[in-house]
Amino acid sequence: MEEPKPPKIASGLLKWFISEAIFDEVHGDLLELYRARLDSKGLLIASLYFYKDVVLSLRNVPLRRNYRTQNSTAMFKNYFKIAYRNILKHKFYTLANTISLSIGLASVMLITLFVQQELSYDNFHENGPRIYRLNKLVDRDGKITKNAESSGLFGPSLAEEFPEVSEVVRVSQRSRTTLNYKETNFKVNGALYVDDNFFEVFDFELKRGNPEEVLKLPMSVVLTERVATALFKNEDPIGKSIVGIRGLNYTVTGIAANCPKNSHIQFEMLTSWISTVPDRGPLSIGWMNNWYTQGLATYLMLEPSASPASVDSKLPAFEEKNIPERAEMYDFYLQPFEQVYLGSADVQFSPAMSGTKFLYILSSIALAILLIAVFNYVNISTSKAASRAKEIGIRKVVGALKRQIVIQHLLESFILVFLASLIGAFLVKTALPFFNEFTGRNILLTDISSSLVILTLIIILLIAVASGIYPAMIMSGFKPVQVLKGSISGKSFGNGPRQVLITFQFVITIVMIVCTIFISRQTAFMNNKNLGYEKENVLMTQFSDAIYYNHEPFINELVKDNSITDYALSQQTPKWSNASNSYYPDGIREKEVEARTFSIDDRFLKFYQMEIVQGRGFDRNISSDLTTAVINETMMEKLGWDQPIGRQLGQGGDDPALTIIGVVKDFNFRSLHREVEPIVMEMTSRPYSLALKTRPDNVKEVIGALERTWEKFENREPLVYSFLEEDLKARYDSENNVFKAISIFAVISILISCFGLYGLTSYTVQQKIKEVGIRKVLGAKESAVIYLINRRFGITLLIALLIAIPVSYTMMNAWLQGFAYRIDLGMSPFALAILITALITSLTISFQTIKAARANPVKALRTE
Amino acid sequence: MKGTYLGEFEELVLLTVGVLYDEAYGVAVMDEIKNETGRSVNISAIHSALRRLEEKGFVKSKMGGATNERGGRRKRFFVLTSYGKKALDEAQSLRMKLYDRIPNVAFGN
Repeated sequence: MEEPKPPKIASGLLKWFISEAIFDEVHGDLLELYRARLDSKGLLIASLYFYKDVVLSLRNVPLRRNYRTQNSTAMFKNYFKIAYRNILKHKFYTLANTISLSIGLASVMLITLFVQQELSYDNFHENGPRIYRLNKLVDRDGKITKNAESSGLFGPSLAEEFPEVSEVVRVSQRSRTTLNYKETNFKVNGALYVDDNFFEVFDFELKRGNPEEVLKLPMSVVLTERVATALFKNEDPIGKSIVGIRGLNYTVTGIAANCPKNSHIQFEMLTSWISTVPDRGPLSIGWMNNWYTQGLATYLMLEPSASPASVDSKLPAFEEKNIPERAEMYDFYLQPFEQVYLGSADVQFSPAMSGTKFLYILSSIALAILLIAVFNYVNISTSKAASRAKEIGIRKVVGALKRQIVIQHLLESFILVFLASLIGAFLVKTALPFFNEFTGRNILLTDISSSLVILTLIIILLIAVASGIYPAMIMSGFKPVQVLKGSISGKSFGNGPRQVLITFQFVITIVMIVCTIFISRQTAFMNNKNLGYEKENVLMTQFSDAIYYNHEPFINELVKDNSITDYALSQQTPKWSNASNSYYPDGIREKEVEARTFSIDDRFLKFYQMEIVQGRGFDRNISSDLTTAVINETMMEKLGWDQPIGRQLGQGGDDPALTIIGVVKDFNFRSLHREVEPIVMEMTSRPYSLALKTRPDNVKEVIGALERTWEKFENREPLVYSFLEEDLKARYDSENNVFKAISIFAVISILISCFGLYGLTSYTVQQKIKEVGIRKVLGAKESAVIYLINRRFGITLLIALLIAIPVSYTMMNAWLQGFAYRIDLGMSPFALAILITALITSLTISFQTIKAARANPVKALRTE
Repeated sequence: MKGTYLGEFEELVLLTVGVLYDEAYGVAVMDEIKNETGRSVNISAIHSALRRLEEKGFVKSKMGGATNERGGRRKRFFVLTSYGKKALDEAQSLRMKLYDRIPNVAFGN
């Protein structure tokens, strides 16, 4: 019969709480007592006593500390010492690891910083979750677009009729204006008209003034601290009268804190809405206070219990009642306020158009780089595992547990990752200005929140574990007997996984190169495409109010300067063309066609060198030309008229029908993301945009002439001008940003991969040094030796290509679908990417293999 | 002074370790105390006392070989150090000195 054993649970308990160092003896003593009692007192009593002994042994728990610490502090000291020696011994590997990890970490830190900033947008309003913006879906001939604009009378009626709506704030933007106080002029960038409850609904901080009162009266303005300081210096601004929009007098009623960066509503000056209401405020801006003109933003704050869906469902009836003519075309809906910033990439006229796409692209690039860096670490550490084999063998022989070896190697990766993150933090500091430049943000190091610091620390910790755990597992698994017999050195470990990781690195690198090539080609294509009009050497400006009412004398004065060779006047310009109208072919209302309207002068078509394919352009000497139109080819197609000359386009309201006198060749006036839209051009006598022709050699003179004339006619508003070509380029800012980001990071990822590859090759070469020596002694040629070593990398590269090409093809295909005008998805970028990768790879590894192949075999073999 | 103070129970354990000489491990010490004084002590108290004595430097220990009777667990054997012997001597002489100074009248009667 088998001898009874003491309760397992009790033994387990003892093992759990008592120090490992004394478990053996304590458990032994308890067992001995158990045996003795078993003989004299029987099983039950013995077991009970055993339990009692175990429980009473709890008093010996503190003994663990005394025995453990002495030993492990010494061991940890030793770990640090060995880690330090290893770092010095393998200087190159350490360097490659640290550099790649620190670049990877820096990328991650930068991008976390960026993501934090993007996610924090608009999150500081206490009422935020209850606020919605009134957006609408616009259905034009079945093409549905979203836009963020509504009309002035919508909001107040909604507040009155809908019990769910507790407050409504309208925000209308007037981009810039100049303020005067005594002798001081100040240019204000964000001037908004807002309802009087602005400060009650939103949590923008009001430093001076009563939030409920500041915007109640007509002609009251609230300035931000920055503007107030610039304008009033040390004087108290409250109650002061300033000259502002349209040269009228305004009273400063409040001072707001400077607008937070992470708000999609940006302002430097707020003017009370009542000032714009006809008959009540002197500004009397009709379009802002009617049912139809869509040009401002309406924010609704709902009652706490109300759901946006119930408001949404009642909106169609509301539209039918108030804007019956547009009810079919418009479909209003509520967009949550806190989603406005990131969720409005497809919403037109939204002041913030960031969108999550760039965020995703950037984050995935950062992740890819980090992966490459971590893989480098894993690859390099596993490949030099054999060199640590003896050390581990000895450690195990003198009693190291597997766990301790794992801890030792994790500690080494912690040290390295810690070092790398310090360098990474420094890199972030250095790179932040450049990063800000191409993301168009203004992120400061001081913006880092404490939670982000903690998050970063956690990420660093995770990376340390992720990169250290696999090598640690491999090395702790060494069998001491084998290792010390020497049968293991010279072999390498983790070959299979290492190949997988290298392949993965290659894949990432190739995909990035392919994407960079495609994006650069598409951006170049967009920037250089013949748009159908002259965009080079065109200086653009918009008239101020004073010049608008007086533009003929202004132009007459301007053209006296002989640097002005050609000019054109219009309302819309190729870069700015938001007006659209409904036209009735032959005056038939049912056949209504929606088209963009260009109101231009008779010089416009010639100035932009637009090609007239039928009929003629406008002539100011023919008085009837004021009721004529020039259409583009797309419009002609839409009308279905082969011979449009002489036919009529009716217009809504009292506007006279237009007779078509010419057809202009299609030109791309909007972003190349979109197809050309139908256009109707008519002649206007009230232009507000001026285009001037320049030559590369007389730009300064043209600007000088413009400035001098401007100052003669306008003493308040400053002149703002720009070059058409640059404005058009700005349209592709997001593509340019993606391009810059991806090309910078592609170079970084190639660099990091090369570090890893270089380290690995030098290791492979070192391992094969005897094989190479023997082969050479037996007469192998240098080329054969090079082939021997390069072959392995060649195969890896080939596999990577097989994966990378379909992946990047799919990605780029999807990306290019976003452009109406795009380059072909040809094979040449892939070929180029393959060539670049192959070239870089072979350069990186050949340096070492050639050295190995040329080496004197005697040197390699004599050590044996 | 903490660390060198020898408590009553510690002194007893220390004496026992000295008595058992080569055979002093947890259970043996416990049994010896039971036999000599009739005091029933739990094994855990012995363990903690031995450990304290070792920290103070009065005893030192080494692990013995594995034996079958203890489920393969090894014994830790304790021996008296010369410092421990000195501590016992001092305690003994202190006791004797004080004992000798007890005047006869103190016994009363």
